[in-house]
Amino acid sequence: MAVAKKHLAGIFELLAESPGAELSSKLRMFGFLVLLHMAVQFWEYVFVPFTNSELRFPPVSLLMVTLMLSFCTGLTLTCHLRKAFCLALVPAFYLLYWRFPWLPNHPSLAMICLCFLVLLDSRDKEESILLLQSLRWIAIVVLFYSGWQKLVSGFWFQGEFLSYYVAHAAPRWQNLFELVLSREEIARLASLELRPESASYRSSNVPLVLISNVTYVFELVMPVFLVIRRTRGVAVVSCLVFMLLLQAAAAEIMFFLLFSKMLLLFSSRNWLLRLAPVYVVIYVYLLGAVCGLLPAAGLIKASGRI
Amino acid sequence: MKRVITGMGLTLFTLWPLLHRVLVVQYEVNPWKLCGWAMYTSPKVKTFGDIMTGGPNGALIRFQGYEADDRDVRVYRRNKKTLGKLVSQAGVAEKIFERHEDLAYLVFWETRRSLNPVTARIEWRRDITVHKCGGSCGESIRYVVRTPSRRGDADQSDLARIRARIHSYISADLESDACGASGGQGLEMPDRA
Repeated sequence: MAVAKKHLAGIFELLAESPGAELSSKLRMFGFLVLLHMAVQFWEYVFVPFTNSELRFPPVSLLMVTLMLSFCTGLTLTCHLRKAFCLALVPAFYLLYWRFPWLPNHPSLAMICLCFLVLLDSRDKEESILLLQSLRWIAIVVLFYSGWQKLVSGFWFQGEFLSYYVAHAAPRWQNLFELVLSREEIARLASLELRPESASYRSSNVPLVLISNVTYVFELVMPVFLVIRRTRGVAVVSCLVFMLLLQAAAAEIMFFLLFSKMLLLFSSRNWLLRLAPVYVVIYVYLLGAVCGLLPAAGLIKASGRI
Repeated sequence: MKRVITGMGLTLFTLWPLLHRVLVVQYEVNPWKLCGWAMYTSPKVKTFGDIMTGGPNGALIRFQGYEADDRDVRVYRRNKKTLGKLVSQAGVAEKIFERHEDLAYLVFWETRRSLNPVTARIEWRRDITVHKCGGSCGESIRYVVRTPSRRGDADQSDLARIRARIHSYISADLESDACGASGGQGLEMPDRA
């Protein structure tokens, strides 16, 4: 127990920034972008309600908490940073209460980050270090378990999961895998029916099996490189590229937007501040699209309904 | 104090996916939900279901309840999609029995379509649970559907087996009434799940 504690303390020490680094502006920007992310998501629920009656939020209360969250987002840029985070917990828990137990991972991840932003003051020198370590640890855990869960599920060794998705999911999966699968193989998979007598989804296609295995190996290995300071820079860039490809394929751009912020926390430079305008433009564009003001049906679809 | 809370929170966050995996395997909890970080690890499971009860001449007919029953069933199904076996079916049945004193039994008919990780083939599994009014727990029949016709329907031999099982479970007086009225043919099963 004591040994494990010592090792964990060592890892946490590695996750800290070099002494004297200015963290508060980085963490403030992270908080602002997380709330902006949540606010855009809530506005999507307002303008494009769920068709399932069990998931649809009551319109008036949803509008109220969405306005509250939008107000909190603006408030993070003022001196009332802590109040903004505390107040934002109300819409976050509203979402939790209303949807429970149907809790998708992505909004939950944003909420977990918010809980840590409430608990630890990013303006306090000591607490900001702990906050940064915690948020980095969360990113590592998410990345590692994404790979581990694929490993233990048993659907990724011979491309079973990818074959199934090429066969039965949206046509974009077929378009995407046209690069590695022959037309005949895609046609064969597409012809498989969802019946017990259908053929196995195990693939013998080398590139598909390779992609399938590389995916979880990458997710299992990258956390180690994110912890080690020397390899952190390369790991951040690799993870960003990997996540972008993965989430674009899965049409989960919203998750990429959230997780990329968490990955940028690993950089010693304040990339969040530098890239904040880019994030804001994307979110505003998404907001305009869900309101029906901007033509971006594809982007909404790719953003992931979460 | 904040360090302790942070430590506890992070420990919970780190260990939760392990417990989540146990829940997925043991209780068929949805891997895509509840922060197990297991999205896109396995294909989504599709479930169909109906609730049946005794109709005229001993036939099984789809249960038509009040609005409150429909709401309870909807909530049950929604929760079941996420929490799997952790959701109590008997609880819903009890609520329905409370509203309908004339109901003798309910048959929960649930079909689950998933990809089997061992064979990498599609598997249809049917769970049929009979709940008797005032009964403490239901009799369950579980089997793998071999040749589903439409939305996982059972083949004729399966149907005969289920009929016999339900028949033996439902109370004797009810059984005699049903068989007598239907000319001894037993309970008629619906043609789709």
